[in-house]
Formats: sequence, structure tokens, C-alpha cells
Amino acid sequence: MTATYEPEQLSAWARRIEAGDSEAETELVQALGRGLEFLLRRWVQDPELAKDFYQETFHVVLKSLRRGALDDPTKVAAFVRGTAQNLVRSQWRKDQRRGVHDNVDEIPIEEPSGTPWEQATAAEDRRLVSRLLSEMPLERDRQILYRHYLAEESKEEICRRLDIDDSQFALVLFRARKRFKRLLEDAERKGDFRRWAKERAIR
Amino acid sequence: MMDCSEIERRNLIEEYLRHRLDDSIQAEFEDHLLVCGHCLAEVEAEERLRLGLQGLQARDELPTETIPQAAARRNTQAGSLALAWAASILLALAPVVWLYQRGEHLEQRLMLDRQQATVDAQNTARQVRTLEQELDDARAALDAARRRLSEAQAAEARPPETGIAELRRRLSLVTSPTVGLPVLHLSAVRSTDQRPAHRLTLSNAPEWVVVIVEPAGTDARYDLRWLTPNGNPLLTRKGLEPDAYGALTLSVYSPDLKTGVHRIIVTGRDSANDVPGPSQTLQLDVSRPDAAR
Repeated sequence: MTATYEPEQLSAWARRIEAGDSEAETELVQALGRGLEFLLRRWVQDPELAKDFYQETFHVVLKSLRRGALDDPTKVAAFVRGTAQNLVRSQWRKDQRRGVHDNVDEIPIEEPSGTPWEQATAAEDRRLVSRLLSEMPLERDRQILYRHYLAEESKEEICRRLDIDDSQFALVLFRARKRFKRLLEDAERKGDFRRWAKERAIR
Repeated sequence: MMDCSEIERRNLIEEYLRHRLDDSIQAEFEDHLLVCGHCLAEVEAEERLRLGLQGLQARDELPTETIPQAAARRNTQAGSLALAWAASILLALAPVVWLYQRGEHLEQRLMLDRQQATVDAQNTARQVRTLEQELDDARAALDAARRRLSEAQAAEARPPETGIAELRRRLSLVTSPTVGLPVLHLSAVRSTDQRPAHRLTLSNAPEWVVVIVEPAGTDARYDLRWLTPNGNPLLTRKGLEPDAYGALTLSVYSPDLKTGVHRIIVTGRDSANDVPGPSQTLQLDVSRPDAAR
């Protein structure tokens, strides 16, 4: 599902919701839900917490749209993102006051340690990634992924080491990434990636 | 508003995942992710790859094959017989490998060439459009220049006209079928005290007209009074009374009239809408001998 929604479409939804059309509410949630789910998961790094924020965000957004509180209906996406961000920050501040966090302005990006089961599956996933990387048929693919993502070497350095032109860098990386993603997807289809599959099943 | 091509051009997905975007750009990018399934799918896939690889880095579980020395280490562990066997296989496969790599290389080059060709074609199309526009402009300018040249040549070919004769000819051209601009005729007269004066005759006179006389090349206007035969100022509606033939004869009389080039601006009135119609500007050289006769 890779639909793209224009501002006019969002604006139409906002107007219909204001007019009391509950079907428009469902359509809006379906349209923006997947993106919001991704953002929340990335911000809070906790699928359960992200699920709560997801519900709360749409609750606030739909309530506002029903009473026509949005000045510019074409900016529904920004409104949804801003609402979600405010809710997360607000929760973060509450936690901070309770002494849960030290820095009020930073949204956590570190992965939580998780339960023993989660830790075990994460370790298993890492082993799988390691295996998949080693199974890549082209040495250059392994090298460029390793140097770019892990060693974070500069583009110039990678080009020099791999003996490729500066203009080829993006293409070589793109192709290596594509091949690696294919391996990941194959592994996922076989049921090897339990944690990522579980994380994506947020709703 | 951000779009997919901008995201790709600025490599924003990678910058986003590396937390390198400014707050405002990040907000714009995330707004786009909310409404664009294509970019969202790209970011998700990229993030999975990144997290998977970085998870390895954090726990020293790097696959040995990613390290250049791994190949050497593997070789030392192999037996000499196996090495010899492998070497012969490698030798046999070398052309295949070479061809494979060569093919890969050529494929990459081909893709790059295609991308470059697409960009070149777009640039060329843009240049062609610009040149076509410039050519149209140049043609229009050339046509205008030709028109001006032919007008100048026609004017040069005409016998020279002076003073009242020329003005009369030009005034007779002042017509307007839509607003009833009058045809003007000018003749030189002498006033009763023998000072130079000019008589202006308006045939096909409309309901009323505005006539302004001012010296050319200055902003100041003469204090000229354009009077109707009965002595009323011309600029009043009441004073403008065409005769039975639709003609109006006016006299210019002023002790302040000086020699030199004067500009006469005649503006017709659209009697239906009571708004100013088109203007016609004419020049009168009072210093010419025939202008004072």
C-alpha cells in the first residue's frame, strides 16, 4: 500500500469530518495511520506505548476536526504530526517530573532492553543479519554495506578503497542495499524475523 | 511542500535516519511521510536494514566475511590439496567470474549513462524551449523594426510639409468611430488687433471635447483661452454648440501666445458612458510663417 494523498484530498476529508461524516473519519485514519504508526514507533521505541499514542492522537485530531478547529484544512498531516509530537513530549515531561528521564527535550532513540524473550529474539535477529550479510554473493556489496553503515566511512574513503568512481557510489550502494533487503525479506517470509514482524503489527 | 523528488535529490531518507536533519526540515519530511506511502516504505526498509546492521556493530557480531582479512584467514585454514583443487577450479571459473563482474560493471555503466542521458535530454529540451522563445522575440522585434523603417521611408518619400498644412493633414486624421472624436481643421487668422491667432474648426463634433494646448517639452501650460464664437470657454459643455452642419469653429486668441512648438492634446468624450475617450497629440509650430498668417 503506497498511496499518496494530495493536500486537496486531506482538505476534503477535513471538511467532511466537520460536516459530521463518520466515514471520512475512517478514511482519514486509514490514510494517515500507517505513517503515524511509523513515526510514533520511531519516537518512543516501544510498540505498546506507540499504540497508546496512536489512539490518543487520532482521538484529539478527530475531535478538533469535528468542531472545525483547523484553520488551514490542507495542513491536516502537519496537524496530526504536531498533535502526536505534543502528546509524546507531554508524556515525556510527566515522566521526567516523576524522575523517569533526565533530559526533558530529548525523545529517546535508544532501544529499550525489553523482556528476556525480546532480548533472546533480538540476539537471534542479529545472528540472522550477520548470516545474511556473509551470504551476500558479491564481496563489494558486503564491503560497501559494512563501511557505509557500520564503519561510517566517508564516501571518498569508500570509493578509494573499493576502487569505484564518485559518480558510481550511490548506484553501487543502492544495488547492495537492494540485494540485502531482498535477503531480509526472504528470511522474514520464512519466519526468521519474529521481532520485526511483531513490531510492525502495532495495531 | 516537500515532494518525493526533493527527498531523493537531497538524500533526506538517509539524513533523517541518521538524525541529521534540522527540526524544520525533519517536521516537513515527517509530514510528507504521513501522506506518501512510497517514501514511507522506503524509509521503513532503510531503517530495518540500518538497525539490523547497527545491531551487529554494537555487539561485535560482525560477519567475518565483511572484513577484508577474512578471506586470508579462511585460506590459511584450508589444506594444500584443497587449495590446489580450489585454485584449479578458480582458474577454470576465472573467465566466468571476469565476465560476470564485467557484465555487472557494464550494467552499472549503462544505468548511469541512461540516467545521464535523461538529464541531458531534459536540459536540452529546456534549452530548445528557451531558444524558441528568444527566436520568437527576435522575429517580433525584426517585424517592428521593419514596420518602423517602412514608415520612415514613406515619410521621407512624401513632399515636405510645413506649419499649418502639415497640421491640417494630421488633424484631419483624428477620427474615432466608437467615441466620436472630432475631425479638426486648423487655419491661421489674425485677431482684430493684428496679433497672431489660430482658428480651430471641429467637424463631426461630438457632444463635447476637451482641448488642451501646452508648449512641447515642458510641464507648464499656456494660459490660453479657447473660446467659442459667442465668447464662452471651450471646455464647458454649454459653450460647445455645433452649427447646423455639425461643425464648430473656434478661435485661439491670447496675448500670451508665444512662438515655438506647441502641443495640442484633443480628447474625445464617450457620450454614452461619459468617460474620456482616446487622446490625440499634435504639434503646432507657431513660429512658422504660415502659422501666423
